[in-house]
Amino acid sequence: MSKILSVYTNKITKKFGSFTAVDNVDLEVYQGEIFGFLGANGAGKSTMIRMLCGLLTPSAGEAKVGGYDVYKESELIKKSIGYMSQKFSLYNDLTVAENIDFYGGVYSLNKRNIQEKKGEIAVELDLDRQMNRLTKDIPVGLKQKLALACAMLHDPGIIFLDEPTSGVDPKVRKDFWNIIYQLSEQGKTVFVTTHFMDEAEYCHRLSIMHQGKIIALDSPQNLKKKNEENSINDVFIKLIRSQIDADYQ
Amino acid sequence: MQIINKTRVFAIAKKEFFHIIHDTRSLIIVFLLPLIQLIMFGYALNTEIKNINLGISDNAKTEQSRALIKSFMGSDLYHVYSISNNSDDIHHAFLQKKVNAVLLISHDMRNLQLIIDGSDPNSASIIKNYISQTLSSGQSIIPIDIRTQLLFNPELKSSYFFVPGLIALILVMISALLTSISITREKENGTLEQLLISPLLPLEFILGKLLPYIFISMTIGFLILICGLLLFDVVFLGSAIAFTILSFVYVCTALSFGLMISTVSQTQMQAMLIALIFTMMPTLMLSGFMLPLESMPWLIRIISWIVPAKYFLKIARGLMIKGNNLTELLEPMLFLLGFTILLLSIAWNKFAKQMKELK
Ligand SMILES: Nc1ncnc2c1ncn2[C@@H]1O[C@H](COP(=O)(O)OP(=O)(O)OP(=O)(O)O)[C@@H](O)[C@H]1O
Ligand SMILES: [Mg+2]
Repeated sequence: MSKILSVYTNKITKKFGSFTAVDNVDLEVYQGEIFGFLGANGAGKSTMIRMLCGLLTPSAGEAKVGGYDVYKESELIKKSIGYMSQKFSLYNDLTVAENIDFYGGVYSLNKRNIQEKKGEIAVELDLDRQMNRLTKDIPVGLKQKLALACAMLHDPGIIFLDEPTSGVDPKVRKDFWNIIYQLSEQGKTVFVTTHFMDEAEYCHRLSIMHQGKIIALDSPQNLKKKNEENSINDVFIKLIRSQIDADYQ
Repeated sequence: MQIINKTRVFAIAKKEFFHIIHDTRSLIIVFLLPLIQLIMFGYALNTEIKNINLGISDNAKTEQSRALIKSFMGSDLYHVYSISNNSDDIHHAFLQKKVNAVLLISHDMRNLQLIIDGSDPNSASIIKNYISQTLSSGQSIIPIDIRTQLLFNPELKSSYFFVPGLIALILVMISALLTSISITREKENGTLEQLLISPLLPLEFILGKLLPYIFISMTIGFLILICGLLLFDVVFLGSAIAFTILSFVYVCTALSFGLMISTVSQTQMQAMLIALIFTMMPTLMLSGFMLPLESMPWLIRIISWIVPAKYFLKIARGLMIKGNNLTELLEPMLFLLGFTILLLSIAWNKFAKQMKELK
C-alpha cells in the first residue's frame, strides 16, 4: 500500500449542545485505502463523515482532507471529494439520464464530458436501456450504484459512502463492493460506514465506533487475531461488551 | 465574491424544468388552477347588472314624459313597468322584488324622483349610475342637471375593475407558491445536502431556481389575460410588449418572494401556507383591488406602499383600460424592480447563511 496521507484528523470533536457525537478522534488514512466505520445506531459514524466532507464544522480538533484544512479550505475540499449520503440523494422524479446531466452540470463538466461519462456508466452498470426511465422506477440496488456513479462524476480522489448498501440485497451488495475495490485499485481513498459485519470484513482497515469514540482500529485480520475471535461480529460484540462493562465501573 | 458559473446555474434551471414537466398532474394544476380562480372570482365579483326592473309613475303624461319613458324602453337594460303614484303600491312592488327602482315623474315635469332598492348597496349604486346615464343621454328636453361623467369605463362594467385585479392576485399567488415549494422540497428530500457538498454557490442555486419559473409564471400571466379578455369582455388598449415587460418584472418580484419564504420554512406545507396568506391577504385588502385605497385610513395607505400588487394593479389597469404606454408606467415598474432586487438579496443572504450554519 502506498503511504500518501489522504485524510488526517487530530482530536476531532463534534458537540451538539452538551452532547458529544464525535469524541477526540485521531485518524490517518492513506491513499487507496478502504477505510470502514463500524458502529451501532448513533455511534457517530455519519457525524464523522459529515465533518470530513465539510457539511459540519468540527467543535474542536484538526482535520485535513486531501491536504486541505476543513476549517479554511472547504471550497477546495468540495472539489476533491465525492459523497453519498445515508439518504438517497438522486431525484426520483427525473430520469436516469437527467440525473447524470444535472450532477455533471453542478460540477461544471462540459457537454462532451458528461456524454462520455454517461456512456461509461451505461456500460458499467448495464443500464443502457434504463437511461430514459424515471429513477424511482429502477431497482433499489441499481439506484444506489447510480448514486455512487453520480457522486464520482467529477473524478474525486476521496469518496465518502454513508451506509451505501442499506436496504440492498446481498447479490447487489457484492457488486457494490466490487466497485469499491475497483475504485481503490485506481488509487482512490474510500470511506465507508456500515452496519453489516460481513461487509466490515472487506475493508482494508476498520474502526469500531462506540459513543463517538474509536474503540478499536486495525485491519480485520489483526482485529480478529488480537481479540482471539473468528469473525468481526464476535470481535464487535466482545469489544462493545467490555466497553459497556468499563462504563459501569 | 466568487464568480457565478453559467453551467451550474443552467444545470439547476434545467433540472427544475424537468421536475415541472415530468409531473403532469402538478403541471395541469399549475395551469388550470389560475383559470378556475379567474372564472370563480370573476363570476363572484361580476356585479354587472343585466336587467333592471324599473317602475315608472308618470304623473305628467305629456309628450316630454312619454319620450322619456321611451328612452328607457328602448334600452335592453330595462324592463319598464308602469306603476301608480301610491306609496303603498311602490312599497309592495319593492317588497315583492317586482322592481329594482322606481322613477317618479311629477305632474309639472319639474321634478324627477328616483327610488332604488338599497338592500344591495353595490347594485344600488350601479343602478343609480345606469339610470342617470340614460336620463342624461336620452333627452335634453328634461330640465334636470346630471353631471355624472364616467371616464375610461363608460359602460361601467365591473369586469374592467376586477379583471386586472384578478391577474395581479393570481399571478402573485401562484408564482410565490411555485418557488417557495421548490426549495423546501429539496430540504425535505435531503437532496439539498448533496448540493451543499458540491461547488454550487448559493447565488447560482437561487438564480437557477428562478429562471424556469419566470417562464412558467409568464405563460400563466398571458393565459389569464387572454381568458380574462375573452370571458369578461374587457378591452386591452395597451401594447402586448409593454405587458410582457411589466408582467416579467412583477413575476420576478413574486418569485423572489417565494424564494425568500423557502429560506424560512422547513416543510412544503409551511411554505405553501405562508406563500398563500402573505400574497392573498395584502393583494385583496391593501392593493386597491377590492377597496379603493383613497378611502382607507392613513396607516393602511402607508402599508400599501409595500404591496407589490398595488403597483401591478396600476400597470394592468393602465394597460388594459387607459392604454398607457411603458413610459407612463415607469414608476410602478421601478418600484417592482426595487422589490425584486431587495427580496432576491434577502433570499440569497439568508440561504447562504443557512448553508453555513448547517456546518
Ligand atoms: N444536527 C444534530 N443535532 C443534534 N444531534 C445530532 C445531530 N446530528 C446527529 N446528532 C446526534 O449525534 C449522534 C450520532 O449521530 P450519527 O448520525 O453520527 O450516528 P450514526 O453512527 O451515523 O448512526 P446511524 O447508524 O443511525 O446512521 C446521534 O445520537 C444523533 O442523535
Ligand atoms: Mg449514520
